[in-house]
Amino acid sequence: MNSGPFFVLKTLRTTLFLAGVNAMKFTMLFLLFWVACPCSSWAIDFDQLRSDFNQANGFVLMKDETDILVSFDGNFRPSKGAILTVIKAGEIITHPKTGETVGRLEGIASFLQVKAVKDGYSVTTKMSGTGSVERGDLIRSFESVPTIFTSEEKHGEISQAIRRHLDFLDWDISEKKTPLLTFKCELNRLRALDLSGVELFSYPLDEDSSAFILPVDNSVNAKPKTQINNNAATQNMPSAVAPQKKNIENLPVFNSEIRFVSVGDLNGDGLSEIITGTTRDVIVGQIVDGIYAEKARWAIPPRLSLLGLGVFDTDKDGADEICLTLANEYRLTSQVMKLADSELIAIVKNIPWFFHVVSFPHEGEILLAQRGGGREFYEGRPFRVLRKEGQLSAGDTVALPDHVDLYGFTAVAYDDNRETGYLYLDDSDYLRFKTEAGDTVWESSRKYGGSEVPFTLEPVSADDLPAISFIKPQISINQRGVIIVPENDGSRIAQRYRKFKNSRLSAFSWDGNSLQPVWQTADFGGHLADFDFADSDNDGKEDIVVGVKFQRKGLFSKPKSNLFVLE
Amino acid sequence: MSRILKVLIVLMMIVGIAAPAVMAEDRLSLSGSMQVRGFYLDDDDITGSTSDDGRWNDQRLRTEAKLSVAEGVSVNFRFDVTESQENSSDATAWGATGQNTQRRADIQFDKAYIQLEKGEYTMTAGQQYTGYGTGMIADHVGTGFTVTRGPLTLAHYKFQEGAGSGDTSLTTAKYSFKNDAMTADVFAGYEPMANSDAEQMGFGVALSTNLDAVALKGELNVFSGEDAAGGDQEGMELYLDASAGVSENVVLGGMFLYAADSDDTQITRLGGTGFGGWSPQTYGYNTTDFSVDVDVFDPAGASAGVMALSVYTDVKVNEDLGLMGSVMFLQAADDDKADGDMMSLNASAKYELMANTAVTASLNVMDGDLGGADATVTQAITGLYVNF
Repeated sequence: MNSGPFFVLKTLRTTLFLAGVNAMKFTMLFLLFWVACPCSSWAIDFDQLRSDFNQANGFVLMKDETDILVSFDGNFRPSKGAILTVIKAGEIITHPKTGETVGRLEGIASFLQVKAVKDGYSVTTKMSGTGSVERGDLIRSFESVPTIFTSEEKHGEISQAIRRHLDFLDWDISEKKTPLLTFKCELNRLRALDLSGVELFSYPLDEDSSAFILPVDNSVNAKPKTQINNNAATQNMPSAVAPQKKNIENLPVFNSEIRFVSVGDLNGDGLSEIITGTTRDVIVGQIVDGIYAEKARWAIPPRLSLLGLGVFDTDKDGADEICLTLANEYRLTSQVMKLADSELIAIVKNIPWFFHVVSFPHEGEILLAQRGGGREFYEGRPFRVLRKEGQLSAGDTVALPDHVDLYGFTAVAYDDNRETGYLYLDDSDYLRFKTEAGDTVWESSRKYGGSEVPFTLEPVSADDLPAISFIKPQISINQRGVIIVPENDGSRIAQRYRKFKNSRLSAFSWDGNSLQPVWQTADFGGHLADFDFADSDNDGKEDIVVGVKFQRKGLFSKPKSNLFVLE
Repeated sequence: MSRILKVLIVLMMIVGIAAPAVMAEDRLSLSGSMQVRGFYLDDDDITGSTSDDGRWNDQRLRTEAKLSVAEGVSVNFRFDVTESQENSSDATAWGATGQNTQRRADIQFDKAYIQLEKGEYTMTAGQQYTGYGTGMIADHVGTGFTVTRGPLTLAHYKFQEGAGSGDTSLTTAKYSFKNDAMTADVFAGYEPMANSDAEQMGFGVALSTNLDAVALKGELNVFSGEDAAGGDQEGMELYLDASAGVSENVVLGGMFLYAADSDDTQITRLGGTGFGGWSPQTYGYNTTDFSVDVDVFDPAGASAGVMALSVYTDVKVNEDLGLMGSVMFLQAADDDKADGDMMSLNASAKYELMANTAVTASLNVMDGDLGGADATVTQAITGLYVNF
């Protein structure tokens, strides 16, 4: 055995023996340390496993007699041999009482296998399935691929761990189904084989695989990762399927880093506009009949950085205004803009407040603001924004519990709407639930959120770097009580450097005691900057518009961001 | 070495390897910077040297960390390593005599403190920084305590336990007023000296307001004190700054500084301060980094005070390139005590290569009465900076 805890144990015992330490004492010390250590060691690199079996969305570009060309969202490049699932949208699921759309069924038409990976597209062949494959069909890598694990008896724990980590594969296959993917333990390796027995991936395996250690989750509130399209019923709502990417023509690709996206009716005509804020521009676009068209654009002056974007009808005239939180270095200079014909015009400028549109139980959406900037991020308490005679003024303060900031929280009604609590991202990006009295009653065991929007303060001295904080991403709750939380994967350890490479939206409901998973989208393969749910494409159904950044500005590269509509 | 000690060393190594990985994912956040700079200095008029002008390099790796122990509780620290000797115009930091010869051998912990936040209260304890306004009343790093409740901040640092009467310490207080139109800080500091009746105290007011077109800043400080021999000390200084955005990309501003001369001894800042520095006469991206500098409120160093006027500009050419420039004229408030006429010319540029990575280049020329002699000093800095 050359790896894992036993190798560490042996090595340390030898070292300490040389140092003259009694073996019994050492063993006790080691066990104490091992128990105290919050993380167990691993026999398999599960990060690599998840990376190899990364789920990414794409679509069919074209097909001929033998080959089918596909393309993935963002910069995702599949591995040669990867198995892709062709998904057909099925019947819409509506709530039996309200008639509202809660999701959509989806069917698996067939499976493709990647033959070659080219710049911008991949060449695949049909592997299995009787359904037709058409141009424009949605594909998702490794979704519900029939899979088996051989040598189950000897390596049961490994099998369980892999099933847990790759829960999107179809492990429950009947005799009628042919497994397209096989996991096999042999020669000290875990091998993933395709239908023909060709090795797709391979991972070194501990010799004594019976000593395989399952991941330990120390959180008493640990929640299993939600399966896509799972049927986990919750107390408050029916089971639902995750929204899927919708084909919209001319959805823009921005050559700048997307920061915010919001949906509103800017001219009061009853149709939604999509407002996108990037590092360079604020862009207003609209989707009508499945086609996106840009309506207006405002170039952000070079001195200003965009820290927030929300839409709210501040003057109650039936048309929303855009509330922009802007900073000139460390000084806030926010403004409110309105759409006039094809121009964005500032109607209130130079406001030293952060803006945030947030939904409160029994009230709906309200516009909050908070003072800040200079040498402090947030000052005082958030307050309601009033508008009189064209000017904004500070209204009543809102008593949020300690450590709940203006951003990154949502108010949740529970206990038959008798209680209100706050679900929020703490400074380390863990989700916490606080009661109105300020008691923390739940904390997630994993990180959510993940912002790449920095705000810097005035340095306290010429010798100091300015303190930096990232504007927390929004958490939203819809009228059915579904809480939608962005989840970005990546390191947060460097305060000034964030680079999230993968992301998804997760939906939950609060059952009074803990957060229950409802659905989770497929991975976006980039940084999920922001989202909003509304009827963004003006088809009469609620959808989610998502802004994803796929490429950052580098020494030799330009940024790239995309919008998606999920329904 | 005892067995217990050996065990402890091994266990510390294990924790050192295993624990950071766990904490890194959880509650530890790191920041800092790495800088590598090149310097040029021609100060022959002051030193009388006829040798080559000074040219040298330096570098510094700075690491800051915040370990969130619980909600509202954190341990914070900052340290520098591989830092070159400041202003070393001898052999370069990478000189032929060895890679470490011009570097400090130690790891310098500038800050290490605990921060507790509960409700409106924030308390910090340990080695930390306190600075108010331009830093004339408080600009200090030391071991002490601060308590902040809303707009009020109190700080106390003890420097030395006196053998006889009293200790050397610094006690400061600040009260902030802020509304949408203006920010005002009122602060005071008191610094008694150990083993003598010497003491200094200062009182200051700093204001900033942002009118639609013009941003205004100002500070007034008044000092009083007594030295160990019983001699009086005093000081009064005023700083005013007005700037306006003449276009979306260009800011134009002016500064006025005045410090009264003293027939006794002029105080320009409290004795325990001066960690970060403030140097409006070397305006630019490397403002406090130049080797040759003057005390802007007493440039002649003769308790002669100052009257100074500066015009500056700050241009954001595009999202990557920024330019800064200024010219400042200084004159002693009492020209019977010193000539004190001086001009300081500055030009500075910063280019953002990519996120958190920038190159700067700054030039400063001082001409006039420097150190009692009519002299011209030319100095330049260029540096590569990476922040993380």
